[in-house]
Amino acid sequence: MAASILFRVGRSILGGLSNNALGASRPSSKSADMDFLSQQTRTFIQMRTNLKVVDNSGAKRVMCIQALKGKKGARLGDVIVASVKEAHVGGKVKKGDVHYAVVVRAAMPRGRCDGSEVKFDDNAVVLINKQGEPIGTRVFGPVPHELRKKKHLKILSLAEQIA
Amino acid sequence: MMSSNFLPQTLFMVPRCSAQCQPRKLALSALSLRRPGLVVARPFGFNFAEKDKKLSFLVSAETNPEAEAVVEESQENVDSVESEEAEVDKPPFKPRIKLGDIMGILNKKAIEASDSERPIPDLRTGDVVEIKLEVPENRRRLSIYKGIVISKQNAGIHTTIRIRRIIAGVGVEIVFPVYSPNIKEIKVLKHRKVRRARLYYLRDKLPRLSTFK
Repeated sequence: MAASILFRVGRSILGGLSNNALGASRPSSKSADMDFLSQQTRTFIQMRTNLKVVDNSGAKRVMCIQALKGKKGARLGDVIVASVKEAHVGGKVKKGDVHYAVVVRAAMPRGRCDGSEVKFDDNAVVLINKQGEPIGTRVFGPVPHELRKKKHLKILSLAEQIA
Repeated sequence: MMSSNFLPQTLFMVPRCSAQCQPRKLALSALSLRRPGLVVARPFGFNFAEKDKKLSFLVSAETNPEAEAVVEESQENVDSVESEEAEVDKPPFKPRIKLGDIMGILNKKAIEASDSERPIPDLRTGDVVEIKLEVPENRRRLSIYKGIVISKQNAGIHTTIRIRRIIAGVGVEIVFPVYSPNIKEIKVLKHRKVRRARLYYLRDKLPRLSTFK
């Protein structure tokens, strides 16, 4: 009798275990497919791309309206036209302003002339005016070398770290 | 007469090719007959070359390897074929250097050349390395990049390593070609035990795992 009860208990436990195994296997097979696809192919910064702002101009988030230069979109070091979506209270820029901005960090790898490639973990911009001078007075985070060639020397001098 | 030589070839070729390519072949043969100085051996002109030994066409330097086999039987020599044979004649007892081996030989020579200037340490995924890079646009100061090797792609002279590090709060991944002359020094600082060849999972993990002082 005890043996049969134990047997029944054992079977129910096993049943529970097998249910769990089934439950675990279904999401794992899905994630196996997604692992193959989760190597994201990062592409250009185009219209409606949300970007982070890394200077102290007052804006927090910005949406790209137009990528000047480039049919497919902007890359690291390019200038874009952006609209401010979120801003700090009492900053130099308000929500809804349209400004030029230069991309200082991009998730898409950018090749350099010596065969190396740089890639950042996020997309970030620094707001500039029409002449190319930054609106803010500080820049946070690393910036790449490419800005030197694009003549954004002021941003390079304000940066904490270069690439 | 030109036309008499012309006709048997077309008679031979007509059943082989379709009506569409016929005018093209005729045009080519007409061209080449007018200028016996040069012929470009195309794949369809293969039997062309065999048949026209009597007309003694010279084969140009851009022939494909199959046509070259045909050319070697014939008497004519062009520059590239000459240098091939000269290269083979110089070391008489070494095995014949085939066309397919040349890229491999050049690759090895380039690797040896850069190795003699600056030896490369043995790099593996999971090493924490420090790289000193000379950037020509950067006032001649050596940039220092530290980080963990998350992948190594072997491709001969363009063997690259991917270094990941968290700089100022942001993750940065840089791909360096290991044999580049711009790299002045590679030093392995530490080694982290990893059970994988590519550590792409570090991108999703806490930044703490990718920071190196």
